[in-house]
Parts: sequence; C-alpha cells; structure tokens
Amino acid sequence: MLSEARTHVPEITGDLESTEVDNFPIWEVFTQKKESDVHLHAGSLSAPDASFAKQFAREHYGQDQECANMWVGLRESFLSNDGCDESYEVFVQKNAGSRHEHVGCVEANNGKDARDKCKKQFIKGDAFYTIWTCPLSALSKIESDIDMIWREATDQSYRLARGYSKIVRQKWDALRATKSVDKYQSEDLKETF
Amino acid sequence: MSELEKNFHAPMMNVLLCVADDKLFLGHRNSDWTGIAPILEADIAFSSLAQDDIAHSSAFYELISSVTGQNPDQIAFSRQINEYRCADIVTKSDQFNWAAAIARQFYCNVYDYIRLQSLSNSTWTPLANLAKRICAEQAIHVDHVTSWIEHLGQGTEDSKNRIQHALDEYAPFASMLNESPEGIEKLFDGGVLINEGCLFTAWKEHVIQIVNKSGLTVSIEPCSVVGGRNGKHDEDFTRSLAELQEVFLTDPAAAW
Repeated sequence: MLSEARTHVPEITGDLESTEVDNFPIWEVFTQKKESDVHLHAGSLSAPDASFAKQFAREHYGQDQECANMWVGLRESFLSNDGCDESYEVFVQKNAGSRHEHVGCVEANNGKDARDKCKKQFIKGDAFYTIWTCPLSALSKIESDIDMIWREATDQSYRLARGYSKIVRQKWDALRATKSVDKYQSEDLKETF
Repeated sequence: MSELEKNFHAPMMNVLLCVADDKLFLGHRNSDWTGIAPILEADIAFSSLAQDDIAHSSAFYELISSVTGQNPDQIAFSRQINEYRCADIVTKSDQFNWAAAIARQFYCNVYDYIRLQSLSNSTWTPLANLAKRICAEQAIHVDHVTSWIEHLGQGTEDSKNRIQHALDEYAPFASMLNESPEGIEKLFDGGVLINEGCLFTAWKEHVIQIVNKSGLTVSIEPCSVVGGRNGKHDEDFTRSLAELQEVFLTDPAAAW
C-alpha cells in the first residue's frame, strides 16, 4: 500500500535547468563475499565522484549479499591502455557473459602493459574473453574491518534471496498443512479457471 | 546488570520508545522516496538506509518486549497517539523536496548516533550491547548523509540555496529531538544510564561542524516546548500513524 504522501507526488519532477544529473560517469564495483574469496565484478553504477560512488556502492552492491570488502573504480580506468608506472589490479573474464574475477596485481608502465603481464603471469595460454586492469591509485577500496559494509546488528535475511525464499516456503508449507493437497488443488483450479 | 530493576521499568521503556519510534517513523517517511528519488543510486541507497532504520526500530521494540512481555508488533502499531514518543521532525512532510529529506535525515541521523553512543554506556547490559551494535551501523548513516550535505553545500549556487533553506526550515523541529523523555533523571540517579553531560551540546556541535565544513550555516536553539517525547504530536504525525496502522488494524492478531 502507498502512503498518503505518495498519492500527492508532484508531477513535475524538478525545475532544474540542466539535465546533467543523468550524465554521471560510470563506476565498476567489485565485491568480496568472504575474506578468503576473490573479488568478483558485482556490477556498475553512475555517480558524480569517487566519494558518492563509494557511498552508493556500499548500499547497492554491499547489501544484497554478505560483503567483506569492496573495490570501486571508474569504468574508464579499467579499460584504458594508458597510465603510468605503478601497480595494477588485474581482472579476467573467462567467457563471454561471465563475471570479471580478480586474479592478482602486477607492476606495469600502463594499462596495456598490465594486460600483457596479466596474460603472461596469470592466464598462461588458457582461454579468456577479456581482461580489465586498474591502477591502484584509481581504485577506492572499502575494507570492512575499518569501514563497515554488510550490517549484522539486526536480522538482514530479508535482503537476501535465500532469506526471502526460506520465509515464503515456510508460509506455503504452513498453509498447505492446514488443508489436504487435493482440497487445495481443487480450490486453486476453481479460483484460477 | 542483566536484569532491570522493576522501579526503572517505566522510565526505561519511555527512553527505548523514543529511540524505536524515531527510527520506525523516519524509516517509514524515507521509504516514500523509493522509486522516485532524484537519481537511481540515491533511490537505492535511501531505501536501503530506510530498511535499516526500520530493522533498528524492530530491535528496540524487541528489547522492550523482553521486559514487558508485550508483542513487539503490538507495541509498534497499536498504541494511542499520545503514547508514541518520537520527536515530530521524523514525520515532518518533506513535500518531495530532496533537500528537505536530506536535512531531516541529517539532523535525525546525527542525533541517533550521539544518543546510541550514550546508551551504549548503560549499566543495563542488554541495552548497552544493542546500542553498541546499532551505533556501529548508525555511523554509516551519518557518513552517508554527511556526504550529501557536503555535496549539496559545495555543489552549485542552486543546490547550496536549497539545502541551506531546508536546514533553516527544519532547525526548530530538529531541536525537539532533544526534548527529555519523562523520568530519564530517575535512570541517571539510579546509575542505569550515564549522564555524560548534555546530548544537546554534543549533537549541536557535531551538526554545526559538518554544516560549516560544507560552506553552510545553521542556528540551533535549545528545545523549550513540550512535544512528541511527551506524547504531544502534530498533524503530520497523526497522518503518518494512520498510514502505518491501516494494514495492521485490519487484523491485529494476524501472523506475518
């Protein structure tokens, strides 16, 4: 049910002259479920700067499953061939459609060099689809031991698909238990057709 | 101590209701923005934080329930208007003005944080433990909304004017967060809560520090009226309560 306020949402959504709000840069987000897991690509988001990108990533990708650590970087920095002499985190996508997975860190002169080194050090002739690289200086790291991501003070299972399915299944089982299956099905058929 | 003495029950329930009611109604009000916040990610984040607030309120209703034996849903949804203890800023309509929603969130989140810090020093351990755990999460809420205040304050002339106007408009209602719950002195005198000085001063300093850092100003006066903490509520509260109770009251005994 909608609250009363929702029945009075103004139709004009704003009187801003600029529509620039729709043109924020895209950020890529990697999450690590447990300390022992690798960082996997979780998805992307649009945000005006790194500080908002972190805030949004924590609420968006950090709350749909348990999350130990999280990395956020501009999409551009993952794809660029350029850059300078520094450490690069490297990520490999094994097949089209699969998620990029963090494989390690290399010292390189630029993005292209980091990709070449990733092939040599981590892929070693195996099949792969794409490689992303990101200079450490362009990656914001949210580490849960100093900056909380996933919250556990209260029961958060309602945020999880499995939490939801567990509760719903219990309710269905309870409902079914009150009637015989035959009776339930005949009522269901009657109501549906 | 893990058991609360009987003569502290009434004032302590009053204090716990202040926290739980603030968070329940703030979470409810903020969830109005689900689907229509100004940008997609702000929408997702604000909804996530609203869910958190409702989860936090539920934890406090359960703590009350552990003492009084009442059902937590009954406590949350089936009291009379004058039995609710929230400060009415939490139900003040923002008229779908994002700056107003952020200003309301800012004042309330900082207050919740300071109050939880103080409650985590309680000598009643179930409360101290719960407040400590929730306080760690409340820090995220403060961090998030601080980011908004800074961005709006240091954004464009337009964003600065909008957030400044909203901060000014809500400041008098924000002060009412500091209205004392009835009987709290009894808890201080009995050593159940630790009176570390004025929450108002700590809250005001924290608020002013962030506001000034963001290139904005605010003038905050101590609360001098009797309001929500003592059960005296305005129309926006009454409307919010009716919304919240509508489904529950169709069948108060239903299992959810």
